[in-house]
Amino acid sequence: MKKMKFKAVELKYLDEVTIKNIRVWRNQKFIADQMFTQHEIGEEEHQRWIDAVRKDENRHLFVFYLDDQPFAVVQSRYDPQHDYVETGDYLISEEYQAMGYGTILRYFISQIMFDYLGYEATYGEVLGTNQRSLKNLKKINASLKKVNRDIDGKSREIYILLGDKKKWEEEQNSKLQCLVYKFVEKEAEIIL
Amino acid sequence: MSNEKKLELLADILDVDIDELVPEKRLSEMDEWDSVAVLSFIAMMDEEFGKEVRGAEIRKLVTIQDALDVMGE
Repeated sequence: MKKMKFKAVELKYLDEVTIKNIRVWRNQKFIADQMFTQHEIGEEEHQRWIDAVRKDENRHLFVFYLDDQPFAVVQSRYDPQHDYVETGDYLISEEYQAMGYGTILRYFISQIMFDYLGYEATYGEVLGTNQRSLKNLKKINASLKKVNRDIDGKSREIYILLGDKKKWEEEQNSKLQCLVYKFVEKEAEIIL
Repeated sequence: MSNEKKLELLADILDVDIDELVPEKRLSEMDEWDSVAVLSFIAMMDEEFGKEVRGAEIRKLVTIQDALDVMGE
């Protein structure tokens, strides 16, 4: 089985076409429906967000690739008060769902946040309706905590996802890592 | 490969008892059939059967029987 080459490219190295595509990808219904912000993102709002990420050294935005094909978008924001990095992500096409890409995505998010950016802890939030992501997260033994939160006047079920560097390091020879590397070359290209 | 052995391989991937793998059971109704299971299935097909299974074939798998059929003889 030919292995794929993984690449992550941070915002400052993304071309303008890809930056524009991020808005198109994000506005797809199957993605928007699972986001906290569900309205269509306009060009101005997208540009403001891109500019905000560029100016803030605590924020990053990546596009993930396999064999030079983009498959996911990942954003992160370090919270110095809590000393964790909050991450958000999505697969850019419905075709990538339930095909193993989510598992690869999750693995490399951890690798980048802990090994490349040096954070000690990660934090994420998933809507309770996002059963596909939650199934995957439970399977990889992610630490999940259910809470209710008011979003746009509605009480929504949210799962808080916590990760820590120590646990990540302990799992370096885990079944998950072995599985991912059956599909992906060990030499990943991380462009920061 | 015997059907019994194929079921054992599937049960291992899905981390369920072999008794749960009823042929007509729909994969979409199993919480265990997720992204990790799909990767494990594709890896298993390569290692045990020397077959490369692509995304289009995975999407066509509806039931346990379909998965057993892909595993071939």
